[in-house]
Amino acid sequence: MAIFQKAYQGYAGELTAPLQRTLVIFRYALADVFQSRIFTAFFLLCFLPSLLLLCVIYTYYNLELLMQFEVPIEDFIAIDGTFFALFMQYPQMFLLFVMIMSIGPTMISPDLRNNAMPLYLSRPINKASYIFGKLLVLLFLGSLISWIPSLILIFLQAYLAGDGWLINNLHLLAATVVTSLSWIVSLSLLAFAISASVKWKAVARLFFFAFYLFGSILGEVIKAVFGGWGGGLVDISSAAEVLVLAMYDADASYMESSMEMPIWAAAFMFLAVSVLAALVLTRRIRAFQVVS
Amino acid sequence: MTDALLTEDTISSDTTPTKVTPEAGTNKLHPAASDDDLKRRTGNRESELEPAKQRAPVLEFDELCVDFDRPILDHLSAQLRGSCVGLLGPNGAGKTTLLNTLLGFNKPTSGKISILGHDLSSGDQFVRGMVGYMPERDSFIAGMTGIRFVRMMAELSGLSPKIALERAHEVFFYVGLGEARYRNIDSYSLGMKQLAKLAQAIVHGPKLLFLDEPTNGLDPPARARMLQLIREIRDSGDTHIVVASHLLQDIESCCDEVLVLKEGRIAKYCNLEEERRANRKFLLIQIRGNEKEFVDGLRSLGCEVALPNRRRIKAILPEGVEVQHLYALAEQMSVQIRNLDYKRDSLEDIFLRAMDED
Repeated sequence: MAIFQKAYQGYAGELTAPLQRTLVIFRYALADVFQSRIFTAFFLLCFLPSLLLLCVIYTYYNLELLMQFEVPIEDFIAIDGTFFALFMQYPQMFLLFVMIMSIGPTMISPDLRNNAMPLYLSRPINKASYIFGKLLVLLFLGSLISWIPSLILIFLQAYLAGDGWLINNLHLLAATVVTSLSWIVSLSLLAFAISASVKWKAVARLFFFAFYLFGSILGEVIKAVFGGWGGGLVDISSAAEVLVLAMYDADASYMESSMEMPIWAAAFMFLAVSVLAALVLTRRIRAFQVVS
Repeated sequence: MTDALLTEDTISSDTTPTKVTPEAGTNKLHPAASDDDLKRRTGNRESELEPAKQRAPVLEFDELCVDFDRPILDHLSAQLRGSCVGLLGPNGAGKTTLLNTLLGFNKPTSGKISILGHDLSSGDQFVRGMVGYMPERDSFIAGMTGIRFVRMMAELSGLSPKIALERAHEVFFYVGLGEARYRNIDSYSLGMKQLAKLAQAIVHGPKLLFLDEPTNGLDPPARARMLQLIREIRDSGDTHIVVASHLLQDIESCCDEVLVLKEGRIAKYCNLEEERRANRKFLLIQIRGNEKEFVDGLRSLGCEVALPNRRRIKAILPEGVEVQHLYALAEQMSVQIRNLDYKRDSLEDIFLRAMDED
């Protein structure tokens, strides 16, 4: 044993690989997140929409069951890109927003408030590893409630539909992964940037919500004043809507989309939010403060 | 120890303090210091007592400059070889900036730094794996128990979860917080937080330990305990220590070398033992009687004599002259010796001299 009860001795054993140290931050942050019973309950509820959809898809292909409940099959909309965008992607994005708002802004601020950064950064990890470790928590949890169940649902639909449905709708696989990951990464980095700038968790959450809300309002105002799709560049929810419509090849008449921005502008919006948030993070996360 | 025992809840029963006796070397979890171990440790200390110049430098900086909006460190060049180096200086002298630079927190404007023979600029991450750091300010991760906090820090330093947990328990007992290791760190007193900070700094067995004001805010017993721990770590020979402090007594009690900074420059760098040897022990004598005659008598015995103030005589005795010779001289001259004291230049004298020199 390396440290004796009454004497000190160094450690000369094996060390883990650098990637494993990033995973240490992930593991501990993940455990911290589930210390809240309210969050745990919410997280479990996040699986409910996917389970409901699973039942719907199963029922859709079970004629006997439909006839038993006297449901005319023509009342069902077709299970295609529009269906998945409307009933799967949008609810998931809302749940992701709530999840990221509840835990994202609380992940960095306690470390900064308690001056923990010198402890992290004096060890063989850097800022990027620290941020990535924290981001992995939201990516992991977000994936569990978004694109992973979506893929299962799409594969179930493909299995039940048969007749080359999957080949015709292959774009849905990419759509669910890309839109979910874009949403998770950009919102998470935004939440972290706010968390790194605001010391108190509740205030950080409020700022995060305000960013979303005021972005939407400002986008509408810009659209009303100047017209066109320029307002979408400050409204992340509109950008997300445009991305979903385009990627799922969905019927826009079912959506409430008010911004007719091109997909490249929506993608640029996500990229810009992520890059700006990352810049704020790298500036705010430091081991010491310079007193001038 | 089996894997099944390796949970935070169950390991506690295994790690209750076991009585350490010279014969108790069979305890797997806490083997007592065996003869071999004692030899090794004594051997290490002996090697530490080698002349400082024979040892490889622990820290080396060459023309190191750090500027923010003004120069903070100004062309520092030194090779620190001590097993425990004290970093002294008045407030704003650049002690913390130097520590931050050595830890890679801020990049030097110019100059080179080498830690344990490794260039800091070429391998930040590698060097940080060998380093432990105890910051001056309160630093911890909120909402964690002490043991979880230290275990996490050990894992971040590259220890496997299993070894990190074992060492976290052991290091908590080592610093004297064994009974409080399952308490939330937010509830620790200031002294306990200092010890927890030390625990996280040494849990991965660093080769170089940076301690920034380790006795800050501690009461006398806690301060004595902290200094004792620093001396023990130093004497283990496994870890070199750099202590930044403005408390001269703390530095004097545990350091063998001192680097004094003043306005971002090195005002003095010395080996304390050599400095003490160079500043020979002198006698401070107070007498009643004929002072001039007594001083002449001292000189006739071969003593170097100085008169710093009235009725006080500073005398350095040559080889072969003992205190009883002074009493004999006083009796012969009918002079009464009222006070006689051995004195030596203290670290305070060295520090104040360094501050006075431009």
